Amino acid sequence: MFSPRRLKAMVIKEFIHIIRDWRSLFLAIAIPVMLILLFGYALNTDLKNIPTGVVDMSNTPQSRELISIFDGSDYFSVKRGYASYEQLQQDMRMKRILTGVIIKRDFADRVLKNEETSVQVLIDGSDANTGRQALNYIQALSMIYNTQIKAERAGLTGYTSGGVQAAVVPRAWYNQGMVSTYMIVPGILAIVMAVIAAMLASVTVAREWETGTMEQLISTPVRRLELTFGKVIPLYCIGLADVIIAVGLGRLVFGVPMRGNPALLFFVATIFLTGVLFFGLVLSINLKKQVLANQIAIVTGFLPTLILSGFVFTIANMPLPIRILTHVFPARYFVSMLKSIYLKGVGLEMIFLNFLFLLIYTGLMVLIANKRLKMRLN
Amino acid sequence: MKLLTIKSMLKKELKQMLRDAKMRMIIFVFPLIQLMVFSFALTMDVKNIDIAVLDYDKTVTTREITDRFQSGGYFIIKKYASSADELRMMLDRGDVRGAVVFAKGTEKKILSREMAEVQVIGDGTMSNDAGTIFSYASGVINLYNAEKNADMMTSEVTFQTRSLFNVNLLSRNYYVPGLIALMIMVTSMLLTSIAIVREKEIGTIEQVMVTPITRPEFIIGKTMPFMLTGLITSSMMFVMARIIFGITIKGSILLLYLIIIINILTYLGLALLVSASARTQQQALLTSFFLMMPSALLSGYMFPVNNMPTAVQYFTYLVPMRWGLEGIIGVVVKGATFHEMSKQLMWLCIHAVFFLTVASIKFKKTLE
Amino acid sequence: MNKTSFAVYAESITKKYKDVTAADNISLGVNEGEIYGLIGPDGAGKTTMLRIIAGILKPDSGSVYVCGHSCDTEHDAVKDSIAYMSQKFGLYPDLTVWENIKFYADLYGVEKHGLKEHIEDLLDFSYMRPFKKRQAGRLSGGMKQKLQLVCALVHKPEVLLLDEPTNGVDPVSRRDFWKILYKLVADGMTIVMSTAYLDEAERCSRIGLMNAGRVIAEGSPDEVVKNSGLNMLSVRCGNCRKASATLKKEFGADRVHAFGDKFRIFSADISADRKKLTEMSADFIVTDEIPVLEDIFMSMQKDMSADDRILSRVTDDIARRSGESLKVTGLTKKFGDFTAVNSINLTVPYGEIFGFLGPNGAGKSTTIKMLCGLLPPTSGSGRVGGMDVMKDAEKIKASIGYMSQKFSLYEDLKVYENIDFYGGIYGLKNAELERRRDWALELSGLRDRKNEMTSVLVGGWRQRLALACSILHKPSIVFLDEPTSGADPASRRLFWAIINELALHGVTVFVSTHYMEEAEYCDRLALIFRGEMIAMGRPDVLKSEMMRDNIIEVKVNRPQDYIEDLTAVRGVMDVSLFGAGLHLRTEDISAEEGIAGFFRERKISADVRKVLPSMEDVFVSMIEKADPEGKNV
Repeated sequence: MFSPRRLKAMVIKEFIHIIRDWRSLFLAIAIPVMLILLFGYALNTDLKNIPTGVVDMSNTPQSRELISIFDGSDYFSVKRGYASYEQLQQDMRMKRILTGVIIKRDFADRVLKNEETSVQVLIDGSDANTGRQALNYIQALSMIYNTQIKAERAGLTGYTSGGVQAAVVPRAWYNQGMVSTYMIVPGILAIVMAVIAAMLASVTVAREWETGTMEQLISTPVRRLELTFGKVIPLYCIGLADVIIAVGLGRLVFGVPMRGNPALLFFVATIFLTGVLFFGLVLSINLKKQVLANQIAIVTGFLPTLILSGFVFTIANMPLPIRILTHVFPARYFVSMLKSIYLKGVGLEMIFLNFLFLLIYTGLMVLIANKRLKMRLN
Repeated sequence: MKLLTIKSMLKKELKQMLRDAKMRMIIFVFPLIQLMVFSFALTMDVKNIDIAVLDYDKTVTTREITDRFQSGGYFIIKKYASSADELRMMLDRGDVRGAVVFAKGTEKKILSREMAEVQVIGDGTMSNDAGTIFSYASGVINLYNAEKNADMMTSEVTFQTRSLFNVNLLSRNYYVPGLIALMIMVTSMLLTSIAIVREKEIGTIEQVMVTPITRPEFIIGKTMPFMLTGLITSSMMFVMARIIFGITIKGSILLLYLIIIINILTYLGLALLVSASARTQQQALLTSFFLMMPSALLSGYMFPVNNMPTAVQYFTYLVPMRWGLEGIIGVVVKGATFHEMSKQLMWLCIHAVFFLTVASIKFKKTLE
Repeated sequence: MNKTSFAVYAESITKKYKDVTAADNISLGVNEGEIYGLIGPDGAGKTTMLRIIAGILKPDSGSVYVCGHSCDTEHDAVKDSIAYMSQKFGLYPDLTVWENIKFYADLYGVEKHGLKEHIEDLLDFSYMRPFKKRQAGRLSGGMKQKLQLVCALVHKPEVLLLDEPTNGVDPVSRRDFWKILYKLVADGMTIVMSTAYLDEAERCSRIGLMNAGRVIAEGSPDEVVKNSGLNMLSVRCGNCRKASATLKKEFGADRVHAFGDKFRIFSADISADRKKLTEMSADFIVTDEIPVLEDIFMSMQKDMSADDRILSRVTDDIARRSGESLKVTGLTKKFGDFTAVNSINLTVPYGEIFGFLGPNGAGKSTTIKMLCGLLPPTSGSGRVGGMDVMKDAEKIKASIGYMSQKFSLYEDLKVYENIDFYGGIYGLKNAELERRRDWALELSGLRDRKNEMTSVLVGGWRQRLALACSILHKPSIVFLDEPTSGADPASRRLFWAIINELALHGVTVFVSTHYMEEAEYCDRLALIFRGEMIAMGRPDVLKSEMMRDNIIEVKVNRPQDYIEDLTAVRGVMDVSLFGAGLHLRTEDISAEEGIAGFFRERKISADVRKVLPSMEDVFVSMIEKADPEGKNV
């Protein structure tokens, strides 16, 4: 028979463990705060002020005008005074600049004579992502510059445009300003919970085996369910505190909108947390050693959640086998649901499939943990 | 400092570490598996973008433009929506990542040489992807414009862009070596951080400290095995990067190892510091996680340092992984020389010396 | 046998681990209200048996019934009617005394109404009320064990299972612990316990003597001894160490055992042997002895020649030294406001065995740690092995050996790997390392098991291996902090023989212990209490000169029943359990008559006589003198 009183006793005991180990408690709360602040203030993928080296062999009003277009944009910040291509390349290797512009000696002549000419632009391709963004900016600049010249020429020759004109009007739904913080806050929630919760849970049972208290415990009438839930509930509270902190900070400090139903968010978070905590417990129960269980919790929690959850890297862009693999990590469903609830404001019916998967995962973990927990020595 | 003492410490540590088959897995196999999986997963190359089309115009021209979206290589038209509501539903559910909407009268405008607007919708919950979708869409439309106006093109200034070090701007050329830098941190920090606290918990440290072993000998004995395993795993990872992803080391291998060794030393120092100040293994692991997480994020790996606020950019000087990452990318991808890497090397050395010294002082205090 | 008439009934229990048989077809029955002791050498299967009875280990075959419930099919009912106290400290160190008790009360579903009062009662009953807010990790060893007992008692179990509950507990705390056990039995509780202390075994109603997974004898301690068919002689002499060799040569090593300040000899023909002994030396005082449990333990050990082989090699390569090995004055250690050790003065020559006695937490370990350079003293001066304690801590370490209280070998290394590791950090190499490794394997008796993991070793082997590792480098001063705690009597005996050999070769041995009979083997003893050295001297001097009170021993059935009444007898200062009987501390001899009269009046047959104080009497009386209110014990 399940006894609420025994469960309560377990819960209180685990709470005391947590409170007495204030350092771990502090870390469990501090990590999400730190991450949110970091992401909110410091980290974003929108490239600005790309350090750009310029070799200006022309050194004419025309070339300076071109450079000022670079410098005048938000995207580039120009460093002058480079003499040669080699110099640019060296500075690029030393990571002092990310792009380089080389303007040829005859640049001004050809522009004035209305002849075709070219400007060489070097991009540090070592960070392909940054490189590609820089490339996009340069393409945009090129269009602006050419239109500007054309306009000048048109002014001179009276030429008017009469071609086909279609233009893209971009609309980013759910995140009009394309603020990366909006997508990052929900992602952090998942990472923090997946790792911290699994880590904390992964030591609980193993520690009791290592110190010998487990032998004492299993000689009492305590039942499996009481033991597992007794261990999980206090950690669940910490996890929930983390969720509240993350949601609160996101809202108050960074103005991340909460378009969906907060109750739904907490409900989904509860299912996710339970699943992850029981996963940690499964590790702890099977491995019986704190170090081992903890290592595996981190290895299977930290990087996979960061990389495979669709938080920073879109799952749809990954090759098929990896896409299939992501289904193993519950963070995938959670991140996807969080974003939907947060930014799209949808209800449960829109995220039902993800929810179902998460539920299955959690149920499985609860089942395995209770199945594997041995109430006898061997 | 006696070599024999260090040797016995080393032997003992290696045996303890490698005895357990599960531990061997964690040390040698896990990093490789992770490298494999993540290397494939880590990509900012947006492709196979599922989009929906909502065509209110339904004319030859809009169909032509739609075809261009389909055949451009980036977009896959998943569905033709019949109403705005349906479109919203599809985006809400996440069935598509974007949509193209043609307003009524689009063809008329194009034929009469007026400015015709094509609305492109991106799912802003992945702001990066949305940006890429817009620029791809612009590319499609620009090409369309250019082809239609081919006869009217005049001479102009072209920007000849050239991407150095990575001609095709392949993400993996960057992400894979970067991932190795990240794995070096994770593997050398985690296990080392429990090295001392574990002996404290079991009580063996007392017995060892009463022998004539000196502090440096003890610390070297504790860290060297992790240096060894760190070097072995990173070598294996580079071999794998070569075989599977075709990533070659452009610069000097010697310089690469120099950077890796100093980088590992920094992590070992940091981890020892954590280990010496923690009371339990759990605390040590949580603390090292607390340190690793921001290190990974502030290193510039996924989020370029240049994008950060100035104050934070200065703060990243204190992040060892930043220098390890820049060093490894510098040598592997750009083929940088010793001289060119002097700044990174200098900072790595500063970190290594600082952390090892502080760890050693802290270690002394914990014994008393 | 009828399984329901016993409190605990086990029927043909067999349990095998890989290649070891821990329980080999064991059947036993424990009556209601008795204390049943499982006694036997390390690895005999005592813990396995207790675990099986507690229902936390499944036997390969056989069945166990507790209060009529089957451990297999009615596991829940069994759990409700028992309490089990494991050998390891099974409580949560970061929970307070109160929180730990409350936790177990809730797990057992103890009636909530009046629970608070019930717990308070238990705390009073175990003299722990003042500590109820202290975290369990900060309690002394004795109190930890008492707390564990209280937690086990909180649901008023019918059967109490105790696995070596008094390991590493000092004599004063041990007496408290037994007072509690007796009170429980008086209330009708059944107790099944295992113990390494033979005086505790003698207090049991019945004992089961185990060896190699079998119960080889069962009955009351007296019956077990009587049925063993052993005959004993004892020899007291002036120079014991010298006599040892002569006696062993004459009677064979298997038959002669040092025992406190005398030798006990197994004899097949008492009168012939007595004659032989008196002819051997005029110094020998020969007496007939009634065999005791320890003799049975010694007789169970088959191959005594192995012990002799070990002993013959103890001092291989050790250089003999003489003169002063250690001299310290005013050695003090403070942790913040707390003075752990207060101004200790010591001068010890080479070749002396110097014992530290004292309750748990009195400052013994701290003193030892300072002397071997692990802890820098707050103040004081002196030299250890010629090196300055304050300045040359590092140099001291090279010339001493230290064996810490906790088992300090690496459990995840193999036996020989541990030896190689310590050999390496002590700077031994190649041929020398080989020689010392061989020596260490011999000393620990693990030559055939050198490839086993250290974690599987039990009791005596573990401790001898730890000792061997700590003296690989042939130190001239050795510190042993409770080296024999938890080992069986035979291993302890061997361990002390090793210590003796070392001392004979000029090695100074510092040792702390809770076994009072071991204290007798020391050349000199220091009694440490609350960081102060309250007495120091030779054991016989401490017993005769420091101890002014007389000790009257009473042997009687159910001695626990008379403790309170006897306290009221005129001239009696204190009554305490001692072995199977009582020791009464009296002001003068005349009290003996009063005590004999006490039993005559009640028509109870009792054996009352004046005896020499034992070390335990000295210890307890000194502690009580220093701490009359019993606050800090």
